[in-house]
Amino acid sequence: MATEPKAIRRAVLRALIAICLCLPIGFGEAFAQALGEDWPSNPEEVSLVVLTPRIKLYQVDDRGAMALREDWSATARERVSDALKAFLADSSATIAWESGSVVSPEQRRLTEDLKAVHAAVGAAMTGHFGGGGVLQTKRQDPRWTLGEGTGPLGQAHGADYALFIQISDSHATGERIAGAAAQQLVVGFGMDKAFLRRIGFASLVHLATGRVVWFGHQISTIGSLRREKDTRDILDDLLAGFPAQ
Amino acid sequence: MALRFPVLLGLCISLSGCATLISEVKPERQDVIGIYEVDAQISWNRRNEYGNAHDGPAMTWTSNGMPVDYLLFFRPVESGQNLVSKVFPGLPFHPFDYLASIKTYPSYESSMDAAQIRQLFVSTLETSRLQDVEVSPARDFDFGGVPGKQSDISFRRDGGAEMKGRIAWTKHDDHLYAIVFAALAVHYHDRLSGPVDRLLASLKFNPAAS
Repeated sequence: MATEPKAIRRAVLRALIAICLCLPIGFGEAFAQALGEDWPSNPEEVSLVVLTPRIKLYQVDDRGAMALREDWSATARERVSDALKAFLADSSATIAWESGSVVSPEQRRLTEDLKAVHAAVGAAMTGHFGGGGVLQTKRQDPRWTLGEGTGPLGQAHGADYALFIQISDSHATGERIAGAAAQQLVVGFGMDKAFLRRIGFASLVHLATGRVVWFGHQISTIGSLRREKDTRDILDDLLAGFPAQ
Repeated sequence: MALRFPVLLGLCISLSGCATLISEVKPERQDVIGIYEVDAQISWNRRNEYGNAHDGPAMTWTSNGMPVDYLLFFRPVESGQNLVSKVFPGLPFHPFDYLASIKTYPSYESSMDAAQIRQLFVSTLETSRLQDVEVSPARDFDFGGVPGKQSDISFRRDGGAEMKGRIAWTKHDDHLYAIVFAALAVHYHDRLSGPVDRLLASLKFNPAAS
């Protein structure tokens, strides 16, 4: 209850920004969807490997061209990893961290391949749960999988579950913001070009089956992974309802 | 509770510009944009912004959501046009990971032979920032009652995931007609390739309708 005034201020701010700017995208609500039944009732029975998050930060110029900023991404990756450790500090699950594990090159390649598959599956799930359009074939049975190749990942880390996280964040250059402001003044719209969205999703995967058993996602224009003080809030929103906290 | 109103209002306004209607395609005989007629085999999701607006390059079906899998029924491509020229910029999960300018896409020419059309597909996929693109040599294919070609395709998405699928196409009255299927190589391709092959075998081609 102590955080309620802060939550109220954030909700009002989000609504006002969305209304005033008529943003053509979601404005920062995190959605979480509990899926599946492959989850033990006793949290202490959970063994989890936390994979190093895939974090990509882009800079968007006045022409709309996106450039991946490796330097921003590396810094944000470290911040998100630190925030993850804080988020899971009180978890009763047995947790292994990919970043602290020694694995063979084959296992590393397998992990990267699975993260790539997760990027596609998470994008589809975000579309389904996040306003991209509900898939009619998934209404009754919203199941997705990373495939049958997840077992070796569990064996490599001694874990039954894995947490995958992917976040893409975009930032406008000063020229783009100035152009957007000028367009807003002249024709009454266009300021949304300056407020680029962050899309993130997190999946808890049952490694014996490959099934996604829990999924959280976030489509937001609020906060930035370039700011250290925002990182924990962003991660808390993304992982709201995470069952192994 | 009073706070819910501005939040919901803001959400409605912000989502109003990008809402996508998706409808179900039942596993029965289906007419697709008046040109293709197929037995759907399984239930699919149809993205209506292509199908109803008549201003996209293709009708899109997906089983597990894009970009996990997709089946594209292309509208006829005229000589001098590229395959993606009618795409809306800014779609969140475009099958070709649309980011580059459409002007950079290679154009179809009615004089192209089978090998050149195969290369057209390779170049189109590569221009879409897909990697390790492979399109097998075209083999003869009954394109719903007219002679056509079919190739197997594979490529890696921008995020690195391997995709596999098929391209079936024919030339008719100097236009190119194509059906493209792609799915994640793990799990999804193997689950869908059988139904898609049967779907393609059930194709009836009605070019007069276009």
